[in-house]
Amino acid sequence: MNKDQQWIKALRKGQREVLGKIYLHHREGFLSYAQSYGLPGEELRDIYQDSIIALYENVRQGKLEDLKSSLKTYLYAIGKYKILARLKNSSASTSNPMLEPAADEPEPLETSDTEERLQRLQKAYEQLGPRCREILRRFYYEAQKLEEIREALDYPSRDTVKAQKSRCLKQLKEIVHSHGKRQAGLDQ
Amino acid sequence: MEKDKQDWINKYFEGKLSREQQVEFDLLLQADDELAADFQFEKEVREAVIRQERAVLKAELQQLDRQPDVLRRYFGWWKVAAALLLLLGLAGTLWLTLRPTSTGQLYAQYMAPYPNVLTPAVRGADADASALAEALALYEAEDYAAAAHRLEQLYATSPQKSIAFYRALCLLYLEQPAEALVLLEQWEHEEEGQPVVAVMHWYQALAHLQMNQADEALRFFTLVSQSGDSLATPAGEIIKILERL
Repeated sequence: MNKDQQWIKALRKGQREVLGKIYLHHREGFLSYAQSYGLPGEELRDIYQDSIIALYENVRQGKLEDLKSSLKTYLYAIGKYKILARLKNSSASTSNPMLEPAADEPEPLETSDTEERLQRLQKAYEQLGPRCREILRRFYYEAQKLEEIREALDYPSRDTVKAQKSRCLKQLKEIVHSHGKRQAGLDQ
Repeated sequence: MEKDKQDWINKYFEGKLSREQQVEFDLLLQADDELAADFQFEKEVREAVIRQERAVLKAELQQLDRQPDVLRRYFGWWKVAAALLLLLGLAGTLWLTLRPTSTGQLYAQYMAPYPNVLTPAVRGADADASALAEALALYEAEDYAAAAHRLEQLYATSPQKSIAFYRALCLLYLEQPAEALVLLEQWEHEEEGQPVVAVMHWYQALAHLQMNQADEALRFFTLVSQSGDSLATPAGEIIKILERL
């Protein structure tokens, strides 16, 4: 088993510290490779971090079961795609600075409402206990099935995981609501 | 919420709905406001969880960028390769009278611990630096098992090449050359010609000697001998021996 395979195997097992190793191992090489695209250094670093996160997500979600290329090639390909997407976005926004929003775009108020709800949910998620965070993280972020979570966390049955997940969602709702009430009290 | 409704939502997020079931689920969502609200809530939960997890990961990666590589920041450690040569001096003298006849003997003769060049520069700077100083004190006291353990812990929070390097040396002394090689290979992407690469190749060669892999050892010693580094001379001596083995 070569080093790339060892690292992927470790990530698959959830050894997150390996992500740091991969990050440092390829960082200088990637930044030097990406310089030719003419983006500022900080932006390239940001893209590299996003690429590492994408790599992590793909491994954890089982999308990298059979890596044909080297990890480096795969990582650089993600990075290149992100660089090109960023260049495309920036050229679109600079060439049409007064671009009107498309007709089917949501109203600004709706966007801001959703955004506010998401931010409240994000904060509430941080306040959940470690067990709930673990279950929700695995289910929503790592796209694990309830059966996989049962195996990983040693629950007696899939139904137990399902019930626990429902309790966690309930807790999440309660935290959001209690924050809402507190906020309303402060606003009065 | 009724049990079967939650099952629909779970199956959706698990990607288990067939095309027909997806159509049925869409119809249910249109007909059942409570189901639609719960589904919308979970979609937003998923979005919030993804954002938060990404933010945590991003912060961890940014933290890595803020950690200076102790080695590079405080000194050019390759400059102390001369210190290693002093340690090897004894081995070189021995070689004149006692020619090794196996890779194992060669390893025993030429393996020397790389000097601890980190501690004087970093001692007391912060908690990590003090933990590093303790780990390297164990290394200098030749308590390689304890040093390797400490360095591994330290690496988990502060993954720096310098820490990996000293841990690799501990692993060599603990006769775990394959594990040591994984750590030493971190330098493979650096540019040839930098003295630090020659030091890594030197220890990679020694790891292969320990594994009785003469051809691989020869390959790395050849790289060292061509590096122009001060280690090139002893590497050349070893190559001559290896070629006769």
